[in-house]
Amino acid sequence: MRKRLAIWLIIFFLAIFTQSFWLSLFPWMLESSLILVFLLFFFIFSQVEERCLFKIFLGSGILVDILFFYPIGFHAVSFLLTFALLSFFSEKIFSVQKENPVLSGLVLVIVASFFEQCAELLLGRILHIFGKDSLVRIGAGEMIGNLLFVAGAFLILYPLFRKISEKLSFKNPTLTIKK
Amino acid sequence: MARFKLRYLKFFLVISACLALLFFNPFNISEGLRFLFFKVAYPFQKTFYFLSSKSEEAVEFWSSISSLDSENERLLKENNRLAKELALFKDVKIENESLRKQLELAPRDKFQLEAAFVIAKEQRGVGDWIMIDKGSDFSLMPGMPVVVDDGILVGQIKEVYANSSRVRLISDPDSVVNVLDVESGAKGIVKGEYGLGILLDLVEQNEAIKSGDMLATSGLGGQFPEGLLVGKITEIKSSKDKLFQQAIVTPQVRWNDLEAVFAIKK
Repeated sequence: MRKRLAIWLIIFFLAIFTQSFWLSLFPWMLESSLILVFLLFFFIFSQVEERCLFKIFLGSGILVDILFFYPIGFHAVSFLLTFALLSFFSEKIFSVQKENPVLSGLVLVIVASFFEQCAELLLGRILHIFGKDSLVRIGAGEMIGNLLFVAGAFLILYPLFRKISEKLSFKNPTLTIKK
Repeated sequence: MARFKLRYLKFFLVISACLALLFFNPFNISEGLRFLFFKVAYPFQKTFYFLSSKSEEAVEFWSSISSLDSENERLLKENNRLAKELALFKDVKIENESLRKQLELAPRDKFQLEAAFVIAKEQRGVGDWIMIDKGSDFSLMPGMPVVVDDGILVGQIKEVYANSSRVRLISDPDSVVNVLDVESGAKGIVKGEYGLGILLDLVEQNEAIKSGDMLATSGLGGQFPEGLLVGKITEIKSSKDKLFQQAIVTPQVRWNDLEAVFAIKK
């Protein structure tokens, strides 16, 4: 219970940190980037069962939507689609990750972030077709900048986030992802 | 197999629920959640924003340390120049006050203002907005105009929470402000453009607007009081085949430097 609370507190503070600190310094950055990096660390390095990870991805998406004034569900959907992609390749991810955790983690973070950005763009376009405001305004330059940021953040935060993810993993005998 | 199917079924159910929320938002569920969330997040938002401004200042200070000598010399010269200009501006001030009266622009001290600090800002995602550290506890309400201290329009309060409010900037794509050209008296609207600043539109072809003209709110529509400065015309986008003239406007406010603002209560 304590570990779950700690995970939610970290996500909560990361979201506020992104909104009030990070975006003031780097306004071109995507709101979801830093939280997604943490979620990906947690996906790779924690021993948490899949359905708990699912809830964490869903909750984080809703949190981003609330804090950044997106309609609720927008980031929840893009995060869940990213989670689905990761789950689909989870066995492959974990087998490669054992051999070279930094490099494989880096590739995974870049691919997952790219996928999440595409999901956001696609959802934004669909909403626009249905008469809602175009929610995502990112061009190719911003996308590349954001991927570079995500890669940099992964490398800088690797020791810290890995330790946090490992410390906060709550082991469960009914693991659905076998590592 | 059954477990596998159940897993996917659950996934699709949750995605469908999220999509339903996204498209229909029943009972306006997001507002209640936001109200609660911002009440809790407020002290942290304020702290993080304070830290970000201090970090920005520190970076600027350390990056300028090597050029302090030449900067000091330049500032001394500038100080002398400004002292001369100050004497000149005393005359201009008297002239300006008389012109404001003639143009019926608002005197800057007639409003009941509520001072507030910026605690978050966003200029890329869902529109251009800032968050300020005052809300319904200080009787702020949606629709109130927000200015910086010398009567320059920043935007309008869109949503109010207990101790914070979201302000839609005039550069937001959904923002529309009725303005008049202070020099020529031409009327039009200023609207936000996606990432492109702000645009003056709906100015009749026979009106004479030119680069460098100042724009102020016209008071039409009642959304904003008359006489708040909006920006300066930097480029006319005139075309004879169009019904109206358009112009690119440079806002008077530098969004990145916004720290303290005032909400106009009355």
